[in-house]
Amino acid sequence: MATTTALPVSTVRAPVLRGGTTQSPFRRTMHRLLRHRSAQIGIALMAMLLFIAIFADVLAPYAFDEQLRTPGTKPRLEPCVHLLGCEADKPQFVMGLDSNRRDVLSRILFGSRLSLSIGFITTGVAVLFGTVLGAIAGYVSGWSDTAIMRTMDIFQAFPSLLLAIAIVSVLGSGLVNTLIAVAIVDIPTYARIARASVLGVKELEYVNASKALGASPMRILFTRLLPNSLTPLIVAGTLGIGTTILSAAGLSFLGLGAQPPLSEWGLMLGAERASVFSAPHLMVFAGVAIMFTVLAFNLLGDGLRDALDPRRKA
Amino acid sequence: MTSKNRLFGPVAFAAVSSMVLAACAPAAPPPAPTAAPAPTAAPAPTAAPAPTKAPDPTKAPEPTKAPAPTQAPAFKGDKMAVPACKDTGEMKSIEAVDALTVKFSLCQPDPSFPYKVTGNSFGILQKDDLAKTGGDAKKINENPVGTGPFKMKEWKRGDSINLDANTAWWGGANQNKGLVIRWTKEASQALIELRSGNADGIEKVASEDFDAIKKDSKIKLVPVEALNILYVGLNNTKAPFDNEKVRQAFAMVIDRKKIVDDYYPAGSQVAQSFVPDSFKPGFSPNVKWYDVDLKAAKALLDEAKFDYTKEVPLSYREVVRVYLPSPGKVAQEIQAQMKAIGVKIKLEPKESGTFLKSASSGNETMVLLGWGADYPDATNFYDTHVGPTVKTFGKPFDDIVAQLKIGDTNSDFAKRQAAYDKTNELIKQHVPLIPVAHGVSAQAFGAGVTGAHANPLTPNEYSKMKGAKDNFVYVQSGEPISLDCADESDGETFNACGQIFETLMGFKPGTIELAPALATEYAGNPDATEWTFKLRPNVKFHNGATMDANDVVLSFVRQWDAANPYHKGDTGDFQYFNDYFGDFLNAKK
Amino acid sequence: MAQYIVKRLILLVFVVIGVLVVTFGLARAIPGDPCTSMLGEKATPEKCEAFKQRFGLNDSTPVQFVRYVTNIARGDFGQSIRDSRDVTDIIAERLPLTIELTITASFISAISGVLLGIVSSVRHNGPVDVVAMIFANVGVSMPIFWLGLLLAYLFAITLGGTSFQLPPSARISPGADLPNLLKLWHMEDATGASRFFTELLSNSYLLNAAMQGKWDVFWDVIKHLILPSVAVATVSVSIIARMTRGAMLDVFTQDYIRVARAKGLGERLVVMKHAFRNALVPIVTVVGLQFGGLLSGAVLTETTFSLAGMGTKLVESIEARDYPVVQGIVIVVSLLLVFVNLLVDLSYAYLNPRIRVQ
Repeated sequence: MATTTALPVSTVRAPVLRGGTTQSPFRRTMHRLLRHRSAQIGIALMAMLLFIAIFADVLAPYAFDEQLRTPGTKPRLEPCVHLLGCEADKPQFVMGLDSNRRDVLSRILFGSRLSLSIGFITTGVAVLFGTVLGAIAGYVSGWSDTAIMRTMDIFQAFPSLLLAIAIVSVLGSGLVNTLIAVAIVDIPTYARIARASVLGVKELEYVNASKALGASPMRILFTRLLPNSLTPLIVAGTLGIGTTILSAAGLSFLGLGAQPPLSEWGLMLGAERASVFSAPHLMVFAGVAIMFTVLAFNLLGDGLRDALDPRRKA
Repeated sequence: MTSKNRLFGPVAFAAVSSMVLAACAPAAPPPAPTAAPAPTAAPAPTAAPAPTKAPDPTKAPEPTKAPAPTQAPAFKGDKMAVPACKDTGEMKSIEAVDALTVKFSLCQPDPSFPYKVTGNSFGILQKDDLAKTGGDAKKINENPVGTGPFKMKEWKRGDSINLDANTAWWGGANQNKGLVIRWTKEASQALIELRSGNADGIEKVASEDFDAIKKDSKIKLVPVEALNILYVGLNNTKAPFDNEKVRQAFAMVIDRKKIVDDYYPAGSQVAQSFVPDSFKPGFSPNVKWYDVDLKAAKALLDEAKFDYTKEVPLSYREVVRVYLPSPGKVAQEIQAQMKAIGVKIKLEPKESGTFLKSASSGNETMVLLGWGADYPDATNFYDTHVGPTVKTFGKPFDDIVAQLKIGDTNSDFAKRQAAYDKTNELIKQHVPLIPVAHGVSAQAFGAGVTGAHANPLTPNEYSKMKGAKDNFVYVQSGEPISLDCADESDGETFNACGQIFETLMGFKPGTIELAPALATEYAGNPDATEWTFKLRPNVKFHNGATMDANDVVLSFVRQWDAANPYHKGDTGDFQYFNDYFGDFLNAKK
Repeated sequence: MAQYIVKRLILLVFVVIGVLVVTFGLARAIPGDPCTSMLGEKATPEKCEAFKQRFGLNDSTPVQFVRYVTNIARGDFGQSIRDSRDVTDIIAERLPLTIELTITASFISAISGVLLGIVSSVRHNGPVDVVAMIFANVGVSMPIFWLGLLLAYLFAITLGGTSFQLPPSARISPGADLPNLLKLWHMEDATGASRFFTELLSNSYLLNAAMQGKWDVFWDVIKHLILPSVAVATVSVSIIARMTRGAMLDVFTQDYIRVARAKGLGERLVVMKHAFRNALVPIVTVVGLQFGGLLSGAVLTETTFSLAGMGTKLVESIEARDYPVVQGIVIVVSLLLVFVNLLVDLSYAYLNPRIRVQ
């Protein structure tokens, strides 16, 4: 039990004291982030993902929709890695082939582009709309605040996946419609965060000072109030990217999202679901890819939260 | 009369079967003329009380009820007739000649009539029970009263249908105490159920799993004969397929062998013509489809000034059928093959109902679709696809339609075959569709299951199978919609109600050979417009009533006559009756 | 407290109306003619006319909305297009499984999440903590449909034949004798609410088996529930574990804990009585808030395990364009969530007096 008692308050505050004297806030945050254990893993994973996504063309041995008919291939060919003892006369496919004789490795690599863009675009759109709505609600107050926030309440009353499915059922299946649906579902979260942080600083002296100096409401909103909500939004957004990727993969798994022959990971899992017991390699890799991508964003988000909020240390 | 009839049955049986499907005699003797419909003793349709005043032509024909045949005073036979064949489809009259004889008269020849009544939509219901339920599917679901080997115990919605063995069944001892029908959409899950011993048989085996099952000593695979076709339909009213050269070029690009090798279970065939080779008449051994020839295709496309920049939409549905075990994957394969000569295909997966409707009204450019036989006759393939009213491939081709007419109205094998040979040549020339594959399928059973079989056209007979436990457990791919199969059309529903209700005719287990069921024998007149069925005596319904001809008449009339109080069902569509026998009587226009 | 409840209830009414408006709007937003898109291939001009008449589509939108709300209030969600059964009947059949699944998953996630959180907070930075937190991070990142497939593979195939074998699909073993209560109680002809609730009870196989005292069937149902609930619960376990750990670590730094330790109280007593009690408020909130996520998870997991719940029916109905069913399911599940969230809010307010004033 010694470990628990040995948690003096001073260690929690230590980084603040150490960083505060010599560094700018940004560098201080970066410093803390880089020292955060889970953030380190998150950043490493993220760097790898970005590298893969950018250089997928170079890294992938084949195109994501190329069907291979060279000798020795067949649909659902098991993985074969020569280094790991697979006979040299067999063609090498690190993750095997899928039902359409496409190289799974190449599809996974190209899939990173899709998943990352889904994550960034959807979350970006949701953060943008959420922030604008939340900031208006918080800053204007009164009637529009009530209207906006009650609408957000209503959207949050639905289980998120259910609402996304319902929206997709109206818009029709497809990758773009899935993005729209998931983005709509995510907006309330960011609206709340933006509103709360705007409310938190609205009456502070520096804001009142700007007002007194005759700054326009827009100017105050964008230069004085919103920067304050940046921190929680960055943290929530980073964590949100992971959730978004999961939701979009879920919809694709159900057949409502990305359509073939796209190499979206959720779609790959859904399309090969029938092979789970006869060709397990078709299930393993896409799932692992989703997991690591989401993990990267979660770890990074955790790290950011801790780094940006000196009081937290978990 | 009885002895004559007994003799007549098998003769007519042999005649019709050979005419329709037999592999042997190309010129089967037409149904023996001596064996003219026996029950002429009963009042002929002409003797039906003719209305004395001139019939009002604007009014729907009034159905007439004939008095009972005189020789069986205790039995009052029902009859429904439309003497002038006005405002009806194929049906002219349905009549209970005596307690155990039913006669159908048709407005036009229909050599496949005995096959049509094998359909589960034509199961026999009990007349008093129909009165009780009012023909409402919801009430029939709760307590379906049929004659079959199983009777209702409980329908656990969403989970299973539980049936008890019918101890009073005419067909002998039931091997099981009960039957449990369950369902899952995922073939892989059904397989686990089978492997773990939770199920005795499964309906759908993914083509991916065929090899694994063959190696597994605890499971056996029972193949089902391929009576289907997968085709790529090309609509001649939509660009670019309004040009015959483009259609021919596409036929030369699509490598059907690759598709069959990669996406179909072993044993499936590359389609040479539109019907499977077991269809005689119908299959043309001398007509060979185009070979893959990318150069020739390219030349044809250039000649047709084909626009390579435009995407051609290929629509399909994500519904697994025997003729198409993996729709999305085959569609992607075709996309990839067309890409090889620079043609861009855009995949358009659609919801099943929307897709079928849109395709059959001619709104789709290029479709990936198939057909599974309802009954084993060529008409069931050709007429439903390249017939005069079909719009799926655009405007019907007059020369094909002319050949079909010869094939349909002739009972001579050689003449029919000649017409279908010509049809196949014309299909190859016009390419309304590219025949791709005849898919083989298989059901799987536990290795210890005795009597395991898989019927290609009708539900299996689980009463003749025996698994490890008291209850036989069968996993199919979907939940039945209702148990009033007159108004349903899907195989999952039929599999359940086929255990409870029985039809006049059936098939020998595992084959497409006609076999007696509730009717012990049947006969047709020479021009195939009158069909008489002799019923099995002493068949008991689940409610204890004995089956007679009036049950049969009412079971058909409730479908035929839209004004019948029991013409209710589930949605009131009675689709199979409509498809097989045309318009309803008294149908609201 | 009373004032808070009233305020909360007013908000609830508002949200409920909002949910109805949104689903109504979504149903109207379906592209194309409502008749052809609702009836699909079965649409004929006369059927469309009857359809429009029946659903009053010729009336103005507000009139339609009022009628729609009145019907729902009467428990009339319309009829399924696919099999022309009442949507209410379908809900009575499908809802119990989804609730059973969500509640079992809630229990699993609450209990194991809290335990995991406490253990890792007590062993802060020790190996147990590190492993637990890796698990928590991975668990929250896993697509649950994928996890479900892996679990099914592991427990049905790899462990097949051993005593750890678990069924990978279905709710109950075939042939298990669990009659419908409507039949048992001779209520076949019942209608309305009594039929609805008896069906509900009857289709909750756990309650049904317990009421009939069929404990072997009860155990069988539990066995079928294990894999799917574990799959559904995993994400929540991770979230709750992290939350608990954080809350406990916060409490450990408080002075009164140090005082308690200084007094020489046993470590177990310190952790359980002093620390955990005070960490309970945020933990309860997080547990309650997981319900929505669990419901979403149940929708995906039902598909993986082929379970006949609201989720599978929803996906099926979307594929079949069976909009009345889609609408009914979305409304019922959302209202359920609204109700649970209300309970969470109230219990939170009860546990934490400060919130009532705000």
